[in-house]
Amino acid sequence: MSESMTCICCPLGCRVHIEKKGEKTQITGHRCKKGEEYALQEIRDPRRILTTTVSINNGMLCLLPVKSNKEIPKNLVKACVIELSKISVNAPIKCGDLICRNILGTEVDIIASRDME
Amino acid sequence: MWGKQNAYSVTNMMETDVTVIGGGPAGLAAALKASENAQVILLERGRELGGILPQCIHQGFGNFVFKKMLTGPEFSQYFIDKVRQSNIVVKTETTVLEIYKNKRIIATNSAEGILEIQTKAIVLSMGCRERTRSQILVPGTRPAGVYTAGTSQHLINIDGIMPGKKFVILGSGDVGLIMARRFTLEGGEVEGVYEIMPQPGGLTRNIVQCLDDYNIPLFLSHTVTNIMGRRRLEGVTVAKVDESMKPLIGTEQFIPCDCLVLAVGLIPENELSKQIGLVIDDRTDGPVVDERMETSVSGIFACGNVVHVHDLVDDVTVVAEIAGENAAKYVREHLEKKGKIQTVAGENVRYVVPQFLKGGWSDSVTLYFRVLNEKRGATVIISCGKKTILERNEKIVKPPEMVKVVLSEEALNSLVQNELRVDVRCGK
Amino acid sequence: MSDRRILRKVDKVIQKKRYENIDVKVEDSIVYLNGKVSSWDDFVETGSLIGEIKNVRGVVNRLEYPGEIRGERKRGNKEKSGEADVVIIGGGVTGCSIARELSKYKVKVILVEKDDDVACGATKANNAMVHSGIGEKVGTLKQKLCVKGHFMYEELAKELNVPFKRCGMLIILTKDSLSKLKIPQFLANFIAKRIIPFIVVRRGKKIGIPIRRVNQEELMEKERYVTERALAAVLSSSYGVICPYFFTIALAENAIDNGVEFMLDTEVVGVTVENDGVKSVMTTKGTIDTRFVINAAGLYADEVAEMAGAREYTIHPKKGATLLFDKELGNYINRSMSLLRFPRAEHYKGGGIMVTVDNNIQWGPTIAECPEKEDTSVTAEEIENIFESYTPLLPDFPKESVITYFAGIRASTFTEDFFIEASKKVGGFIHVAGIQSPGLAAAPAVADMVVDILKNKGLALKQRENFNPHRDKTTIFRDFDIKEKKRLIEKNPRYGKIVCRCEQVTEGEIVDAIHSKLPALSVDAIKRRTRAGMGRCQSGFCLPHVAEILSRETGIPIEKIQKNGKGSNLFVGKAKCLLGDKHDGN
Repeated sequence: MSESMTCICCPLGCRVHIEKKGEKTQITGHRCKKGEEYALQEIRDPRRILTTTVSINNGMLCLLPVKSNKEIPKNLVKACVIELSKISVNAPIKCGDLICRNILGTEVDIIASRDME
Repeated sequence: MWGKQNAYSVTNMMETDVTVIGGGPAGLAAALKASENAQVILLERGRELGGILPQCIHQGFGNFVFKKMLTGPEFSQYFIDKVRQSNIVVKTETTVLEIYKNKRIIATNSAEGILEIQTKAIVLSMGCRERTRSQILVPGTRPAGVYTAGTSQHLINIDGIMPGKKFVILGSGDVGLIMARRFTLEGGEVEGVYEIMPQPGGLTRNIVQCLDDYNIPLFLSHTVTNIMGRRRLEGVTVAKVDESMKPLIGTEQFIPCDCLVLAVGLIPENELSKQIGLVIDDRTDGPVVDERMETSVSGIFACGNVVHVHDLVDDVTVVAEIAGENAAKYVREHLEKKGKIQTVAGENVRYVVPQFLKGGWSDSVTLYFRVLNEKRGATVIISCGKKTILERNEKIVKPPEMVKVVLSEEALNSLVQNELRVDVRCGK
Repeated sequence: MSDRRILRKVDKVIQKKRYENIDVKVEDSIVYLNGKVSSWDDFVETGSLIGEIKNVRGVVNRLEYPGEIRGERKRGNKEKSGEADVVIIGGGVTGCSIARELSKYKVKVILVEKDDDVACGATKANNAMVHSGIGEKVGTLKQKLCVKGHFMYEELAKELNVPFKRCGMLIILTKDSLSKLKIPQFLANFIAKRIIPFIVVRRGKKIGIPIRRVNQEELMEKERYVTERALAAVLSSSYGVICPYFFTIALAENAIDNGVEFMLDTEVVGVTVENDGVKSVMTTKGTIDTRFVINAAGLYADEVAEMAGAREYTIHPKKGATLLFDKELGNYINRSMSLLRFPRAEHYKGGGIMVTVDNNIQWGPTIAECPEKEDTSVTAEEIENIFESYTPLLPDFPKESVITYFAGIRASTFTEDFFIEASKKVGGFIHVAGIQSPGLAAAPAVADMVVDILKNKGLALKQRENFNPHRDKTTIFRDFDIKEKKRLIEKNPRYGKIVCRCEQVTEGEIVDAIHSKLPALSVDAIKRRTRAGMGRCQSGFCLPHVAEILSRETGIPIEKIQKNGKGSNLFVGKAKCLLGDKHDGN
């Protein structure tokens, strides 16, 4: 299997190629060690921080910005967003308040990104 | 102290040391710093403090200031909390109507009516507005469904409104890329991101995490050549462009969509600066400032995006603190200045901020500049007359990434001529 | 001239152009064309050439061409919704001027307008000039009405509390004015400097407008940015400028005050005729019994006339695009200016450069035949055309300060003149068609003329004793001084909240517009009344707030808020409406 990606570790943005032949994994195109590590992480277990909004009742605004306190698996981002679209919280909220614990079994929590009265 | 009301007063009259206009990241940091040594009034026209940050719900803020990757709201929350704990007088939903060289300010809000503030120093931190569809002369109709990126971001993240279902984004700067992901995560379909330049405008990290992650195609050297739809957008025509960015006939393609989002640049909002009569640099569209962030009128300072568009809010915090500190200093004592050195944008440099160095340094000074063209393996050279003050190699320089050079106190004191030149040369 | 003679001349034109398959009929000096042509260009050309024939009153051009777009007729509502002495079809500046004029009399008037607001057609998209008549073809009805109408503006503007300025127009001649004629430069200069101004001034004096020559020295002194190649100018000092949609809204509000009923979002789909006289008007919102119909339907005047069986003209749309620049440049010029070139394109004054009453500079309009009545797009070529046409006048103008551009469509007849008369075929059907430039300037005079026609056709017009010509001044925050602003906010705190920063428009003004006599129920309707969204950021900051206020004040859910009428929804729904199975679209 082969895959290509752009490394995001520094502004050079090297195009890194990964070739997997059985047990062996060959990585080319990177210009530093960080690039190699990044590529390996991306094919093994790509993760992302999720930021979105959830509905908030009786707040100054109708939406509360939230984020995941850790990176979640990349392929679960969309599902998490849909999950969060079904809930709503109540004001007042403090920055860091827990909005959703262990979302979709990822062991990652979704927390409030700001105060909202 | 403030709000002197008597039967004969025409307005609510106030006197203070420092008035900060604009409560975004620049204004917040400036107000906080100034409040350490002066009375401060902070005026903000929006409903709450934070400026553009409350709607920037994504990560990417504070990496340098806090050593953490924060979201926009988290970053501004820190400053808002500090402002609440301070003695700064905050007025939100308050718009400045008039501003004078003698530092008299007329503002308005619903609760208090017309406010008249006589201040000793002013910090301008009004930020930017977005370049519009009309300013880039996109032909076609004028239907509902054409938005600038910031407006669409406000709609989605603050107002709770979805502006469209099928999106075309013009402009691959970070705002455009961030919105591509945002629209997708809100259930929209992004047909593509179109960029007129041959290289993307935003950070590679955003290309990967906003476009690649969601299989949103990026079309370089493309632009929108027509907008169609009478009442509501029905689609746009896109075309490839040549080196001089003119559309190539025969490459036009119709893309059905109901929402065109333009991320085509920011323009410092200097209406008030022009009212006072500050000298404006036509390369930055912002007021000319010195290393203390003082403008061409003494006692009036400016910081943040109103001076020139920044990439990182962390840089804004740094310059805003300089502005705030010096505004407070101005109120207490005369700002010590020796001479006047002009910074010059040399080879491959679009502009340099600050435009002047006035001397009397007790600390280092950071020069901020942007290049005109992307170059790999470049050398930044700061020189004064024939003498090279500083030389630095850069792996890559690009227009969307502002370059910072710190000049030490020693280097500054060695300047003998009144011109400091910044060049970015290829190779060594 | 007899119909036979006209027919002969028409045949000559057709033969000369070698058109085939064209069937011609002439009746009462109206030429009726039927048949087929190979293109829309031929359609226009045939109509225009025939329209130019002397004594032709009108051209009904039913020639078919490939690619012809036929609009779909909406379904009418047969139920009787009311009755009136007069039904005015069309809420542009013409229709509203007539409504206001008729409101001086004891007659029941209903004005029907198909869009969601008045002034939505050419009225809101022209260059705001109240022409003096100097540029119009001598002897035409439009010229006569333009001269008469434009003098009426001071009083009208005062009564209605609408800003109006007699800015004057400099018709400028430069070294390039005669470049198309290919004559030696010294001769061109002489003609431009000495002969043409003299002719223009003489013409102006003949039609009764104040006019004088301006020499090069005075021109350069008074307009410091005008091109160095300018040689002389003619000042038509009675030229004026007004905000055409604000004026039209004011006319409508005053008419409403004096008893006229306005039905918006109401499209006419039929006119019932009985015993050769108007019986009723069928609209999408009901049928109105009436004896008199004023057909001021602009681009659709020919189609409305067709509904009544009274068609005597065909409208061929002509697009005009205009560029608008930042009000920062409001002092760049003192008077409006236009560049006089010879030979001049027929029926096109050339547009010009002017400062609006709100201090924006406008360049335009252009002119181009346009097959679609609703095509108000602005093409790249039109933008380029505008820059090319007007840069010679102000070569150093900072063109990057453009803030927007728009286009309007002129409702031109093939005779290129107004068609204002009582139909001879259908009693009570009054044509007020073909109103293109100088429609705005002529409007007050057109209204007078229409009232006279109604009188002659038997409508009893008794003066209304309690007619109030005065419209209260709209509260405009930015126009007040500090003391007045303070008082205003004390009375109503909403005037203290600035919503549109670029134009300094307050929440109070927006709420006023929403609850005004002719309520603003869309974002653009609010824009036209308050200027919110007309500034340099083009509603980038204020749109969400304006939409929110509109929703709050009217109860319309925010996801249904429209920009300008049906189908122009600004949003698709609340946030997250597209996620999962929830599709909460419109």
